[in-house]
Amino acid sequence: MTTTSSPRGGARPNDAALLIMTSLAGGPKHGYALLKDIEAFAGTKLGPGTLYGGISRLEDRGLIEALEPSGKTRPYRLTPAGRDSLARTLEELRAVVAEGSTRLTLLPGPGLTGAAA
Amino acid sequence: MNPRLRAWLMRLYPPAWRSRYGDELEALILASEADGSGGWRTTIDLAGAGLRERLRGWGLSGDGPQEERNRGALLLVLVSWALMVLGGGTVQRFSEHWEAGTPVSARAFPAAVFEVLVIAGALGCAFLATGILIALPSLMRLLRAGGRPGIGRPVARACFTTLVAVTATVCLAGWAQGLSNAQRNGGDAAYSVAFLAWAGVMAATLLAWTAAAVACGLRIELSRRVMRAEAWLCVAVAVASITATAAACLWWASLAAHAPWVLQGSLPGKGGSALAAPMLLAASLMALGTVMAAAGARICARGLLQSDSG
Repeated sequence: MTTTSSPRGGARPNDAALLIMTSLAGGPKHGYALLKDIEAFAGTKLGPGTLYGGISRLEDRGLIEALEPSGKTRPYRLTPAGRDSLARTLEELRAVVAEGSTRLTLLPGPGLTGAAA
Repeated sequence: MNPRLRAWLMRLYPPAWRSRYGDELEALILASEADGSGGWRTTIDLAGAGLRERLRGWGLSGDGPQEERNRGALLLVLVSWALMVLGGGTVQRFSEHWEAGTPVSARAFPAAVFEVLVIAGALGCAFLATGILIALPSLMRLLRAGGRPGIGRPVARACFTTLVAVTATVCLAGWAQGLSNAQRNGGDAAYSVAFLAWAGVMAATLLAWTAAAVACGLRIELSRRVMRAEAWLCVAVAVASITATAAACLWWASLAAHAPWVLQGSLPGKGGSALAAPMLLAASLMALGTVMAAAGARICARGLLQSDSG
């Protein structure tokens, strides 16, 4: 997963696929709702091209699916395979977060709270 | 965003992608603009994403199966060599009679690197021809299986441009026979214009055949053994590209240092800028071709390493 600088200064995840799947875990959404939701929970502003690039890859891999279109937009939702994939990815990330946090607490200096500040 | 710019950006996406997601993407762009989120960032994002989708369609995005990535890499190297030929041809034409204007004491190095350029070019052509030859049986199988519709149009276009190129070459050669050496080398304005037009036709023919080869390459099925051989040839073509580009740049730099008047076509002993437009064009084409060849070879080399360890 890649990261980008957020307006608040820290590193934030910007893996479009992960962000889209995380957003869809909260229920089906169309493109604009996805952009706004991702910006709200991750602080990452995906561009329209990046968003639809991610959507097309996830749909190709069977991890999300399109619902009936309403006008020109089409809502998407996670498939069962997408739910499994997201759960596995989050589990892997949890392991990295736990390991990173443990190592940070062992570092001499300000520790996790100080490092994040 | 200007509707014409938006339409142009949408054309960067492959047609199949556009027909599936184009309407939704346009609706999202308009909705984002309505809340003030448009601007140059969106333009760059759309252009980058469009090119990524193109690369993905050719198997070069890095997120497809290794087999598709290898195929994309082969085609990238094929296209890169077309650019190398265009750049190399420009150098060849530009370098005619360079020795006559260069002091004898300064000829050894540029002559040596020019020789390297010619040898690297010949080897690259030989590697490419070998790659095409070993893919021919697969092409024949595709044609026998009724795969002609997908490749008929680009091949017909290439045949047509070849016909035009042959006709133009015959006419130009006939005209050149009646001209003096000085007239053929810039002394006759009409001939110079005709020569440039002929060069354009030759470039179009090369690009048309490259497009036809890419159309075939996207459709043929290559066995693992052939794919492996093609991957090795891609690496060899990339090495030839790097060598040829380096040799051309050294030749250029050497003349710029010792005989800059050659680069400007002026009399020996007169100063001149080293930034000759034909060499700038040639070096740019060759540099772009080399970068593409190196990128393709990197993917091929990774595939070879994985298959060796697998």
